[in-house]
Amino acid sequence: MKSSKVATVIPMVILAFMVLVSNHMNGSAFAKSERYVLVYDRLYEYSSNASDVLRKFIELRTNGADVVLLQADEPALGKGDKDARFITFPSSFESNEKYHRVLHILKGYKVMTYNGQGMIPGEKEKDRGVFIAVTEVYPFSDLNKLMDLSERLHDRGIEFIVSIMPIYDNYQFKAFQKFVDVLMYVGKKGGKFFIHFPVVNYEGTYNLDPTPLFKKAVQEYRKRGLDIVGITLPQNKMLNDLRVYDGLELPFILVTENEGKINAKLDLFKVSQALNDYIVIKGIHLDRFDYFGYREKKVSLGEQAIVTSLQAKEDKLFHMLSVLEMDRIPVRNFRVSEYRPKLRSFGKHSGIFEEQEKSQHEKFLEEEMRKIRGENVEEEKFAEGYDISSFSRIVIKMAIVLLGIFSVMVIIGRRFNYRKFLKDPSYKE
Amino acid sequence: MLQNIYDYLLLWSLFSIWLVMLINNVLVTGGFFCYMKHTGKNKPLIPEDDLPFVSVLIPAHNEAKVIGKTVEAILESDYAKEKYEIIVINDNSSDNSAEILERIKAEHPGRMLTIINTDSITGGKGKSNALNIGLAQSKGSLIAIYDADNTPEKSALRELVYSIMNDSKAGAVIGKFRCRNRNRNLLTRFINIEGIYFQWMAQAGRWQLMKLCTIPGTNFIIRRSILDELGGWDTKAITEDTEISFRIYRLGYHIRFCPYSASWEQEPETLTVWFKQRKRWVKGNYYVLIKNFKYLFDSHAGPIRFDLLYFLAVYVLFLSSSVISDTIFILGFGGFIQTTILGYSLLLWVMAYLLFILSVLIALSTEKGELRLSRVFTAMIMYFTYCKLWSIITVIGLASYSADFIFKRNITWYKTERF
Repeated sequence: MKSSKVATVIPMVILAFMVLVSNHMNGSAFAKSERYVLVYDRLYEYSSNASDVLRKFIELRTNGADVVLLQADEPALGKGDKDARFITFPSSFESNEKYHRVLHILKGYKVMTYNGQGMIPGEKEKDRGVFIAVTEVYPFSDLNKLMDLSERLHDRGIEFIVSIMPIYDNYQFKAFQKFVDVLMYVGKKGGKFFIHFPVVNYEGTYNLDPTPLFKKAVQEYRKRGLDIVGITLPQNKMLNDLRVYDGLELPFILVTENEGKINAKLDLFKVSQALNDYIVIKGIHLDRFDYFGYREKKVSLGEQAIVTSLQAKEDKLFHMLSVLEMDRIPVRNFRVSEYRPKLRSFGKHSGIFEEQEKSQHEKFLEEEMRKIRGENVEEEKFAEGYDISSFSRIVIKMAIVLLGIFSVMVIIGRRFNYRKFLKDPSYKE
Repeated sequence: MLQNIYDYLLLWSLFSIWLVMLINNVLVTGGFFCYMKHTGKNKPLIPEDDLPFVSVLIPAHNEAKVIGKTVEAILESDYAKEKYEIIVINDNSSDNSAEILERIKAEHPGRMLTIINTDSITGGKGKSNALNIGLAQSKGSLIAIYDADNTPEKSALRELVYSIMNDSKAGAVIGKFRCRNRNRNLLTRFINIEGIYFQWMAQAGRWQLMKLCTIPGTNFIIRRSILDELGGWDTKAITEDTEISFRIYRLGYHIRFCPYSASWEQEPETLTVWFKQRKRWVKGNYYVLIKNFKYLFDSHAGPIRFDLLYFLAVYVLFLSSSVISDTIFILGFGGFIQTTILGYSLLLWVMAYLLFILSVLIALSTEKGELRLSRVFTAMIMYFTYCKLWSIITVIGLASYSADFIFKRNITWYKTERF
């Protein structure tokens, strides 16, 4: 009788599991992020390389929000998602008149004004902790140092980001394979691989499109078993050069220092919309990271990764490790699972402003033009795997419903079905 | 897009496995409602004078270990003694079955117990042939069949008769059989769960949803008029029960499920015996499937089309999918092949496993004393062991059947060894 009761408890446990799974699915994969539209007039103030708009953009993106940059003259102004929050930047406007016109257009929307402060009222900083990122990892770097560092981080239970440099040729060399072997070892020690944005700056290459080379570099690493999950790049490149890394299945972006201004001709509205698919991590250089501030939870929004170069002096690296150990700073592991909701929606448009549906004819013309220009040859050659995630989701949801029904049936079966059909369960053989 | 043959195979197997699982889950739900419907139902008794005369046939070949208990159990039935006869067809036995039967007959002088001893010329040609011999000597308007290892409960025969008397469209009525040596070892525990879940829950579900049942080979009753019309049992069929079920449906009758009638039977206790018995079942089911395949496209075939589809789903779709997915998993694990299917969640597999366990629990909850913790653990292990063995034996059975067909070998009837 007792074991029968325990057997009835099992469906209840399954029921609880089902509720948890269902909550997890609703709370993560299908939950909507906070959505913001940053409305500005000029991106940069006169004679300045800094931009409040971009700073806010990065901060909100690192906090997991969906953000769109919208220039005040864009026709999309006033046509956006009613649930999104509009943040205006008065100091970026040339005239008060224009600013008030914008406010007038945004009547009926949730509008806030950026006042130069870091936080937005009601905005909560997500406690993601801080990651450790080792950058500038070349085949000719001190690989022993990299392995040593990996082991020490691994011993402290820290998973970390390793940002490797793209290699464009000479894959047949033993040195390259050796480099990959070392990286595989580092991967086993908890290293998560990001690839650095291509740096093509030797003579005669200033105008070269790095996209095909970069794609090749990523593929060559992956072909050898390295799981590259993200890209490391400066803030301006993230917006300027989206086409270089878009479509390479690199869901994470580690943003490092700002190296220049954003191209004025860029359609930031579209670029920022596309970037909402990515998970942005803002890096701060090891020298500027305030361990004690972090410990006291005073680290400002957006500083998510301590970035250090493998070429940095050894003392610095190991000093960092000893500080981590001495002060027991809870540096967060790099857990991809934390970003599961975003990863699931990666590659799908988040759509604060949905694009107008193009007609079949327009799509056909566009595809044909791309073929003529030879732009989609690579795409056709490297067809992606067949994605059954939507099928999986449907089946899982269906199974959850069935599990619920079945659990109830077992409970009913035990409690109410007193008249069992076999009257002699203790049959003697 | 799909890039290689493994992608297609994997997708196919995923789809098929979930499809068959869905069908099974629907049957389990139907079965559950069937059992609930019968709960607490009080049936009026049939006056003794109105009871029909029943002939109980027991085919037996070298069944000395169990035949005595079986005949004694049927003699103790609470059905009116003068209203039924027992005919044991001692089919070319080389053991002391004849002596045991004669002794029982002598101990019950007033009872209608007929013993037919056949030799290698008249008998020894399988169960169908033995049943036909018994049928020829029987007098009843209803024919009940029990395997030689069965010990029916006292009310089993009466329940079957009551059901068939109250349903003029029922050509036959089936009761349940249960595993009497279920606690002997892990194998018998598996067989016990298999019986409750795959046999009785599925039968109840099919009856509830489609008025469709398949004769299980023992503890069933059939109208003599139907047997006469059909010309008895098909001696070429090694699973004569399934084969005759299809023919009954084609005559326009249905087979009724009677959950009140229960019989206890001995199941294989060793893998070797189990293996031989199941190989015979698999071969027999393929024979029935091929023989009746044409009715799949016959709109007059009625509900047996579902059974044919179900047979196809299990013996072709599910079997191939199970073998393919396991092979791809092993080869992929070994690094020999690679698939490019994305978005396969481990949760899918977990869900399938949980659904299996829960549906087994539902089945167990319908049987007294079966919903216990030890059975849950057995079901959990069963998924990885017994179910895999099923795949293996089905592949072997199919290969053997194909070989018999190609080389025109005579199909031999394996008699399950008793313990």
